[in-house]
Amino acid sequence: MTDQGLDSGADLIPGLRAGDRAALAAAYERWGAAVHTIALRSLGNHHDAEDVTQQVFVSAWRSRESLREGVGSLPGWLFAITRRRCADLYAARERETRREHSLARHTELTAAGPTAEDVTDKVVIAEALDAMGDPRAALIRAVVMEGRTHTEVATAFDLPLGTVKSHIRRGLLQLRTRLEEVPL
Amino acid sequence: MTHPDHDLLVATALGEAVPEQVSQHLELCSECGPEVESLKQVIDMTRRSRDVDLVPPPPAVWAAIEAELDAPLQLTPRHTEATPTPPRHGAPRRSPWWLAAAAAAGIALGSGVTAAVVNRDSPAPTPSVQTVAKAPLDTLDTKTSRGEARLVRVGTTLDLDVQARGLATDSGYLEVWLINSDLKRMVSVGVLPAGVEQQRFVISQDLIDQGYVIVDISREQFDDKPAHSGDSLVRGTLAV
Ligand SMILES: [Zn+2]
Repeated sequence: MTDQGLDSGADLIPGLRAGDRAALAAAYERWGAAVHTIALRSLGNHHDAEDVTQQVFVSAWRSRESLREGVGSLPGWLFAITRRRCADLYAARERETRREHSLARHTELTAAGPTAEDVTDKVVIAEALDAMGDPRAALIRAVVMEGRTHTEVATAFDLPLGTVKSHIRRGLLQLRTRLEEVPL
Repeated sequence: MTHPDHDLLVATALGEAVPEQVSQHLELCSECGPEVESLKQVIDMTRRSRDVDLVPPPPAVWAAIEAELDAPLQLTPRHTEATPTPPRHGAPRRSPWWLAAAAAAGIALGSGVTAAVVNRDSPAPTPSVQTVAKAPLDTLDTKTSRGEARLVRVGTTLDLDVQARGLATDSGYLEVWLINSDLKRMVSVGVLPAGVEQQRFVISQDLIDQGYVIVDISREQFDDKPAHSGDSLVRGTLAV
């Protein structure tokens, strides 16, 4: 079984570092939805989520020279920026709340929602499963999410038991790597 | 020690039945035990990610990213006409470290627009000057007038001309912000240097169009927190 691993964006890093806007567009194409989803789930409103998504790609572009080829992964870096930006916005909202008496009363502020780490990790996995493709992603969903046994799934997918086990094992290791690539 | 096959560790982490000697090994082995725990965490997080559907951002977001990257970014402080500072011979002007920090706040907080202070040192042919909008700057507590902010079109650029007096900085410094009319977003426009009563900042029309029309001057401390301190001294809304 060939095992290419998950897309680490290595193909885009030289272009980004060289200032090629097309590389940024490609990164946005691949990971924009995940960045936006992390922000949406962390902040709870579309407006802030769109703002954070914009900030993440702008600041990724402006700090692109800190990217090193062969170190870490591009999505891991983007997701880490996203997590930090959401945390910053939360902190800013809290400060706003404190001085709300001096602003208009109708400002809607979201109460502290799910922790940013948890949200980020969940979205990181969802994105990785999407990127993983089938049959591996489908097997992970069946065995890990739905709790079906390897044997049941092997029959259902008409695959040898050893192949199923191997996909599950490698898939879980890929997900773990992806989680580890997004530092707190 | 012979470790069990990794498949068996995965099976254990998934809660499947494994041979007795495997479970015994896991209790004793300092490598396989933690590996099972680590796999369990990944499995748990994977199960919890079940309800996640990726939501792509609307197309306007990419357009906004491109627009922001195309906007000029300039961080060099200059002096205004109103408060000319005699040039010091031989000494290049440097931005104080906190100006960069304040500028960074613009990136961290709002849509990331950072203004530049207008260069009035090198006189260019006088462009047409037109006041677009004004905002009285009043204290938040007693509504005492402390100055005025004017939105001025100079040739093709848009300036925010801030005049304010009698603002105590205490141990900190003064920072000018534009707050969005939704009262949820703000961007740092720049720093009002100590003792300076008038300063111009270049801003973008985009910012005004997006509703950043409330001018706010806050007192900031020399800390590592680029966000608004919450200590607003004066505020006024540009009637655009
Ligand atoms: Zn062992």
